Amino acid sequence: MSASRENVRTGPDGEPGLLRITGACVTFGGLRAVDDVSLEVGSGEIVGLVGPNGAGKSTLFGAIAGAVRLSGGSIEFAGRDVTGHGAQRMSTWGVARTFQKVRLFPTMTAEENVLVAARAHHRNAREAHEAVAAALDMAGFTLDPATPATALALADRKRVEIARAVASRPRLLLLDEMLNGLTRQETDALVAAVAKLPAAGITVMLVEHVLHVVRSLCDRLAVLHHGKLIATGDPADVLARDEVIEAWLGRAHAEGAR
Amino acid sequence: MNLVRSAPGRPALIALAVLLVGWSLPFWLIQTQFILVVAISAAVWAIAAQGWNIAGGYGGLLSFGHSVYFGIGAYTTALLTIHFGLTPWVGMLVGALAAAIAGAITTFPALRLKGTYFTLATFVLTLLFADFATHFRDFTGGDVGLSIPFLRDAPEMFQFDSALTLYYVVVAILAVVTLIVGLLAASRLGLFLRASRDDPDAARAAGVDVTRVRLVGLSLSAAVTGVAGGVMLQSLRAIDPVTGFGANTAFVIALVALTGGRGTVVGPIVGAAVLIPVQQILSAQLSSAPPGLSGMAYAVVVAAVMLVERRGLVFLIARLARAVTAAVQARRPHRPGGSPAGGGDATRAATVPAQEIPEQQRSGS
Repeated sequence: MSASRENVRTGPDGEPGLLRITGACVTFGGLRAVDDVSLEVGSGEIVGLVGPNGAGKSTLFGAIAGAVRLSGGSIEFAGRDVTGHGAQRMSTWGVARTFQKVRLFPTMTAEENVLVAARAHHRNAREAHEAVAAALDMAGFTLDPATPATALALADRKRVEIARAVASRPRLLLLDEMLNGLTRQETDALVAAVAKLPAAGITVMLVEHVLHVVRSLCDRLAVLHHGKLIATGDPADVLARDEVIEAWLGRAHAEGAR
Repeated sequence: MNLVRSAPGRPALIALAVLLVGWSLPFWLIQTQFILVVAISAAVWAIAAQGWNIAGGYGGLLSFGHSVYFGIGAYTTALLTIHFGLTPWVGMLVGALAAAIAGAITTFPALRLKGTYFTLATFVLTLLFADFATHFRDFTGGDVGLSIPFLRDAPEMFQFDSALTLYYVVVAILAVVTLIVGLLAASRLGLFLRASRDDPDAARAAGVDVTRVRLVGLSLSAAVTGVAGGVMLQSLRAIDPVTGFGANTAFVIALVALTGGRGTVVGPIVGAAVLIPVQQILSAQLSSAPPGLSGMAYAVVVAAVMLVERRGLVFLIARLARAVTAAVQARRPHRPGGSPAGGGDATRAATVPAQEIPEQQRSGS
């Protein structure tokens, strides 16, 4: 399937693609976790990366964030070839991420966790502290910022992790299963927070399993299956395709839908 | 009272407390010349452990090789005095610089080796340097080591009229070092060191240059421990390979910080104040006993602290203080209308576990 044409998109503000992945491959031993994926993300978009478990979604995120090495292909970010650069460099250039399993600094408070990113990306301490307050606010964190990370409930840990990512002044934010394990109420609050990010100049890519969220929040979906990109496009359209239903929900669902 | 958290402003208070308490000791606690010598020694080890704590405590780079920097500091100071007549006040700083360079070099194994393997590599390094110091006889004096000229009452050459004056000076240096390390811990670098210790991958993703942070952290750590080596030289007026580079030195530096409470500003001081007197008084008391017995008694003390509170004495004291506060509050009659006492307790109880370093994340990568 020639997906290249419909992958090329510009954002609402008409800027050319912020992120351009071309023929990306990641191999672990003999396994092709990401297999020849080409995808473009425009500035200001919210793009959902969906697919069954083990489809390579988190690996692709890792590759974009510089934590996983590509074995083939290239990644261009903000007009610059960033292939092969590490996680710290990618952060400096404006790619932030959260982890599938929340990874806060366990010996730090909520505030200090966010401060790490803020101090790495702001000129002085005062600006950094302002950025921390703004980021915690944006992520909907309302508890005492001096609360130790280990004393936080899952939803608040996720909020702090998102705040930490936002405090690094990203242009692209990668959210890996941020809604996993949250209640309906917590989900709604976080979704509302993420929906506001493009207005703040942050393009969002998210890996998500919650269907109604994917449908309502994302401007566009990219479906991965066995490491390959099998579909991209408008969420309602993509989710109605047979091959997507079959890959994601299984054959039985696909037949039931017919 | 919270000994564990560090906020900017606190280092100055802690340093002042170290100075005042340290200087007051001769008036009420230090009554014999022997105890005075032990106290000087404890203060020197506290300085060395403050240095260790930058890398080992805040940075999570568990080194059992800080004797290398200690020895480099001592030998550099001694050689500069002997060959060039340079005052140890300057010599110590040159020694610190030399130790920092050695620290920067040893960062490279730290980048490649994880956790235990890094610790092992640092330990091997101590053996190597002890051999160097013994082997290059003409330069280092071999097994005998180096002695500096004995000058009575020459403050400009870091020699004083009495051991008591020396004690006051060493405590003042400890206070200054505590201030510096405390400010460092509360700084951007301190924050990044802790982030790199807690989760190097998450730190990189947040934009922290983990490699650079560790390089700078280990260099500063080595420099401070190098200063301690210079002070030790001045207090003994001699240095030899065992004192300077020996495995025992490496262990004492690390154990003082670990027993006191690593990653805390007062930990190294508390550790030295407990461990060094125990070690030296025991070895004096047990001098007629079979050799090795004092070492065993010392090991028992360290093991006991680790069993009761493996994060160290500072955390144990904090725990006891909380228990006492809770007991006092429990005895008070309950006020109607929901007193904030319960909530306050919960907040405090939550403060210390935050310092807990989960086992799987203790070793950096």
